[in-house]
Amino acid sequence: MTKQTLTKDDTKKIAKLANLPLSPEELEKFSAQLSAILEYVEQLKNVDTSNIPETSQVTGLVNVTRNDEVKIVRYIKKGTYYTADAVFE
Amino acid sequence: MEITSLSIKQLIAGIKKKEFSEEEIYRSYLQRIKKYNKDLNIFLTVCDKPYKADKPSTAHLSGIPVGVKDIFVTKGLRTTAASKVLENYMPEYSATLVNRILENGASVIGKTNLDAWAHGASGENSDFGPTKNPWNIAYVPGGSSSGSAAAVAAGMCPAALATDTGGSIRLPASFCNAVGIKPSYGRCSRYGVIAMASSLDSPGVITKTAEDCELMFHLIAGRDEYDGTSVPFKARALPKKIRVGIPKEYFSEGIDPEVRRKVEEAIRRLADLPDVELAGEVSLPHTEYAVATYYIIVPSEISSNLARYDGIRYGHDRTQFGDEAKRRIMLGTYALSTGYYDAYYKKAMKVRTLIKQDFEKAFEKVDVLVAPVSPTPPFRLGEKVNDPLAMYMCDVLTGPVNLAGIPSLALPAGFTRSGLPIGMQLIGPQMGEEILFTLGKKYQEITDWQIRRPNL
Repeated sequence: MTKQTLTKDDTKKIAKLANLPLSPEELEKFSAQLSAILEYVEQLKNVDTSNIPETSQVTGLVNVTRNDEVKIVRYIKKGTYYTADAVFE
Repeated sequence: MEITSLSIKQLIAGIKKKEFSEEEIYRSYLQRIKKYNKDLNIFLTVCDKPYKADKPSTAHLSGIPVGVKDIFVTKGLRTTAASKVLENYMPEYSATLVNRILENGASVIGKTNLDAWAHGASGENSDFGPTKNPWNIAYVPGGSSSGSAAAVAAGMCPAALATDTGGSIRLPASFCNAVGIKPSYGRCSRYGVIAMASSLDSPGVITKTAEDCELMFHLIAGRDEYDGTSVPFKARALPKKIRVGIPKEYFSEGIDPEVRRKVEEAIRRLADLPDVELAGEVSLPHTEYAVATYYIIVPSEISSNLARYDGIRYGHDRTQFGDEAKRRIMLGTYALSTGYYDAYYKKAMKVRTLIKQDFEKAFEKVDVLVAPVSPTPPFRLGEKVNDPLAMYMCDVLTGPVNLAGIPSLALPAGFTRSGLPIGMQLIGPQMGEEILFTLGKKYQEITDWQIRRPNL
């Protein structure tokens, strides 16, 4: 295999950022797999995107609001959720 | 006559004529689940008693048992996303789509298996074991809505709710000889659907026939005040003559010859239909970049959405994530991190614009695009599990639709020589579902793939 995009140290750093505990075997495996995927997505560099805006949503909706009303039906009934004894009296 | 082989329309007619009762229907499906679920691993939770509304507001689906992909939360009914992280999670409320079917008189018969968190194309990423394809148990049923499609194919329910972020309704529908609608983004509410990639997730439904799919779709679709991204738009008007286009990039060298042949045959049948006009080839030039774009945007959104599973509020801690979830969380974390954001995420969002524009240009000339759903027929269990990139390539013909936010209807289009289903998709413009159902129903009047059932 040629050079990997991600070293084991890189993967370790990403896993830390993502709060994922990984075993040494997993670090090895994921470094190789993630590198292969990253090498594949490199092809996007070939697309000319100068002057192309970004698409983060497709519907074009803006500033969707609703009335700030309390809906009793959405209350979680007492007894169906966990309660703890009072700590301070 | 076997109750479990009937369509929803036939079941409703049968109840009306008193050929069988609602209880008999439920019992028949339940018996079938009990008999075959052990081998096929389709349902993660089965409701021995119908899970339904006390007082439904209509009777449109009265007596119809529906399977629900285990990524829709159901109040008081375990919801796992097929992940060990949520293996004992009990929701406090139900998803809007679940409420909509219940309000129309349907019941939930159980929660169906999936690739954990809906990450996958084969069903094999489920933390509770893969679902088997009812047509041949050595093969995958497609994913991520593996259980929903397999349940309909195996006669365990006449319809099942599912979700499609990159092909997750259409792929399994096509691998199991079922019909599935991936709606326009925002047309069906995401409220109560455990989030994967929020800018693409499209809940929908899998059924036996196009007619049933249309019926179910109109009962679940529509604006939901609990989902700010659900759209208030009107459905597109039906054209007098439906112009059918063939996207040439979807019939390239990489497509399995048997798949290509069957879909080309289906296009010839479509062209013969009254009020349908074959408008010839169109080009969607950025198709080849769709998988790369998809696998930057989707993991990025996943890394954010799955950050909340830390064992404090929901379920177990992060050691319980399976391999695919870990891969996607890390890919997304990397793509969004300082120094890489512009090169990956921002770039992918720009290419997404180009992919969306490809479709917009194509729909100036045609009303519907016809293409295969999957580049290959169903593949063997285990064939791609150690090669994530090969698995990602399954989305090559379905992912572009999600990036553009447009609807697509998957329909059975025949079988391989070895008897495995092949599916095609009718792709429409935004809010164009009605055009797809109209064409799909016409096609099913002159073909009979949809009435074929697997021998279990």
